[in-house]
Amino acid sequence: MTGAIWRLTWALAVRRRRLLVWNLLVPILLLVPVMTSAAAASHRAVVVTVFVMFFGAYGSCIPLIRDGMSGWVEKVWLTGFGGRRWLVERTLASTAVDWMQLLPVNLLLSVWLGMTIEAGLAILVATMFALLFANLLGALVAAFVRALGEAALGCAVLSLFTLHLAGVFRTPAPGSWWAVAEAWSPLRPLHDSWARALLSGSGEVPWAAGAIPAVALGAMLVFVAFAGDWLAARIAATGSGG
Amino acid sequence: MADRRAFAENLTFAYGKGPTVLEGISLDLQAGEILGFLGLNGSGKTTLLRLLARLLRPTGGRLDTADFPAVVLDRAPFQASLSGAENLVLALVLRGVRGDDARTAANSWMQIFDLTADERRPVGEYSLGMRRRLGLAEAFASERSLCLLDEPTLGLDPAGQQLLGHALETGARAGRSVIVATNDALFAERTCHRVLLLHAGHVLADGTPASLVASLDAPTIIEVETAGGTPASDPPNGLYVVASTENHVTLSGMACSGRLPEVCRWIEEGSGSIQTIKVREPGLADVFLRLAGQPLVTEAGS
Repeated sequence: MTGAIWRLTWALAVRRRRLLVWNLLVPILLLVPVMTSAAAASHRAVVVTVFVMFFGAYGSCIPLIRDGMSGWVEKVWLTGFGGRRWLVERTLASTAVDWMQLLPVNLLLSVWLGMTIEAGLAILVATMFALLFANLLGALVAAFVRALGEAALGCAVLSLFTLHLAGVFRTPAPGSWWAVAEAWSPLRPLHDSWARALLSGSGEVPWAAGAIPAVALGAMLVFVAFAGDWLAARIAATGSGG
Repeated sequence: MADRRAFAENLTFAYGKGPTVLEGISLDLQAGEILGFLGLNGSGKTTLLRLLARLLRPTGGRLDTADFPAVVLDRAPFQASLSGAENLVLALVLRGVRGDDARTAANSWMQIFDLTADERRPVGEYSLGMRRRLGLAEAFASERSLCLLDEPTLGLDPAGQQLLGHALETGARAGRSVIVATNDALFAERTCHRVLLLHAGHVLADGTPASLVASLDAPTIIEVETAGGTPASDPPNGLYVVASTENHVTLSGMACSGRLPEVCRWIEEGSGSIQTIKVREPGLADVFLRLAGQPLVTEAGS
């Protein structure tokens, strides 16, 4: 593995200073007032989960569409690098960059809210789960839309739907298929870890509960890798209007 | 055949269920050959290049090309916030070139295309011509056996065109094959070993620039502006007066550009001094005009 896509993603994240500042500041400006307010813990957990989902999905989808439109994806394709490899490496690198950009706000809130190290660690791991899911979803949206506006709409609708499936907006009846979907959702650990930390400040972290969402996330990654050439070709075609 | 770099036989293509864009295209490109696709906008040049790059699939016919040729399409996408050198290294690394080798090749080709002074500037600050040169540097640096260049002279100044011509010649001597899609007849005539004249998705003619021009059987035109009138006597043998006014005479004759001294003597003996003299040899643009019935407007406007 050359690591070229990883290095490129990191370089771009650092070079685009204005975007970097926004990506570091907006989470702090938006989440700190909400998370340190007197709002109900469950509501605050919803806010942070929705934010992370949107942060990851938009951050993945919009640049992919732009790369498709500019001809960059086609160019990568023409080098023989491989669409599958490019898409997987890019999604993983973009997830890592997103996670790093959310690290300051996560650490700030952990300290501010007096969380235990275990609770803070659970949030960091759950954030990674949610961001990987959001980035994969963003890549899938990018493969099925043909313009930035469509991408924005697609990300919004699918993000809200998957948040709903994760049980973030409601409590499903036990045993219902909604409850099953919730257990598999990679967004669920983030919501639960924040709700738990906000309610008790610490509490035992049920690490095993993350196993099923991890399997779901792995399956999604395998699907994107399996269909990577086809997805990348579709993203590349964004530029040609096809 | 080991020396064959691209082969197409009776190739046809249509976008979806739309009309046929290319029909009955055949070509055979050998190692070290520079082949030009010359035609108007919309004649199918770029589509043919995209087929050769395997970005499109033909709807009919047979097509064989080298794997992953170096391609410079009409749009040359770069990462705007990376420098020219970084973009070049990145493109080479994506092609599997090792880091150090990529940096060495990038430096060398940045120098060849006169970009060394700007190699650390972000590409977002590059002019169109510089971006075009960077794209060409990238294509040549990749050292692929086949290069596909779409309108390579677009945005290039004369110095850039000269660098491109030199790079093409050097590459051809080293066995690299290049296909150039252009509507610049002068560039095609000067650079290409063989030219396919494309019009409305069909090949009008295929041959060396010299053979295509010779097939035209068209005369050389000599235009002379004089001071003090034009000669009343007959012009030198083999030359004919096409038009004559008080201070202007137009002559024509087959392959007569080497007979300028005779023409000068004829003018000076008959009337007086020569103000200006212009010689216009028939070229690929004339061949295209004859075959397509439409003028080929080149970048140079000739």
